[in-house]
Amino acid sequence: MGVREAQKQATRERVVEAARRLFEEVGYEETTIRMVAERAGVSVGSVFTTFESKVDIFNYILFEKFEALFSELQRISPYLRGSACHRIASLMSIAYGVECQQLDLMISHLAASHGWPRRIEDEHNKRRARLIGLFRDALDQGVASGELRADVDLDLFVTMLLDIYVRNYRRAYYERLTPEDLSALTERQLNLLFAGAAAENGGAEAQPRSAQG
Amino acid sequence: MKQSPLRVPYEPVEVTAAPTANRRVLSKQRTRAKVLDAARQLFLERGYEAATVRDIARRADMSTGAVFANFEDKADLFEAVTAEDFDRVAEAMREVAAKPQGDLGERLVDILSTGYVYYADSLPMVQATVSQSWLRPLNAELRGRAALKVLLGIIGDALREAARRNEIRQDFDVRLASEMLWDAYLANFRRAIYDGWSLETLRARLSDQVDIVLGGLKAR
Repeated sequence: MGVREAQKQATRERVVEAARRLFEEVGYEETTIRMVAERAGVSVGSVFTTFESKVDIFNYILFEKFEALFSELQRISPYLRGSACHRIASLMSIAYGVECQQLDLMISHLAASHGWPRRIEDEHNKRRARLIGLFRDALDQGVASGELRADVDLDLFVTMLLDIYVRNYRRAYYERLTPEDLSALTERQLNLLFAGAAAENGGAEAQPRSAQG
Repeated sequence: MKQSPLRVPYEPVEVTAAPTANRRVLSKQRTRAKVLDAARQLFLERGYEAATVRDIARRADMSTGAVFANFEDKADLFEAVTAEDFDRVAEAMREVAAKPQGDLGERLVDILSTGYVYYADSLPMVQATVSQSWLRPLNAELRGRAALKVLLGIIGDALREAARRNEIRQDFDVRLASEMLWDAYLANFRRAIYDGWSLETLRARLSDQVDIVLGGLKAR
């Protein structure tokens, strides 16, 4: 790495660190690039040579946050037991526990996601696809074990799970739900969806067969 | 101590006829309507951030002061515009719901896609509305929630009626099911905007989602 590159990298790190603190302290919406530059001890111009815009810095921070959360979910995933419904509910519950520690940042993220540039939307979709993949693995196993019907549109089903997961942050924020409340709500939502996808007699949650059955 | 979550019952809202207004009130209403129309146009053309109260006043052909006599600030104006849209959508959905046709799935798709039709030409407004709805202060959230209650009530009524007809099971959480349908309806806007979905695609997608939720409500 040349001197120039090293300098650029150092500026980048300082800018990201300053932005991270400001987003936490005063909130994403209220933070300006000027404030970030001041806190990082660099010029406004330097900020703009490393990032295109405020939402660009935000996206970088979200990327780091996502990587940390995702590797945690991926690590735990193989140890989860029970039905597909239960395992996905557990994954969501773990994510709520992590994200609710910085609920304001999550809410800013969701607000910004409506209307950010295409380029960032594409990156966001890549992260989303990895999360979907994790849920999808649990669903595929559910089908393989005979818990779920084979004719369920799993692509659609899994995006509905993700939509529920995301919308619940709104409820957490405005209804002041704890991660525990949120997990309980998610379980009820998932139970309803999975009831329609359950195989007639398969899976852990099926009713025991009656004596004459 | 944990705060108990806010619960809003879904009851139909009674609509009463407005009392006869005097001339002064009428004039004030006209000004308000004019400002709202101008604001809607500018929010749609430029987006929430770029639209200024000054430009809105100019478009409405009045002074900035006159605008501020009716609205506190830009956020207040935006809320009024979106509330008006919401009322119109609710009205259209209620009309569709009042003419019951087809099974529950078809009815729900008919009711909800009324919203897609209404916003078909103003999708950026939906983005701005949803984005703002994540950030609004609690009192604005409570007003938004009261408006949403009306829409969820329309969906809830359709569900309850189907339960009476034995089309779905009797023992289900109406609020939970209505909100899940609403979430699916709303999430589709985002993809419609980024992926350029047509009304037909939106409707087909919604129909599949409704089927999945109803699958859960039909399981016994």
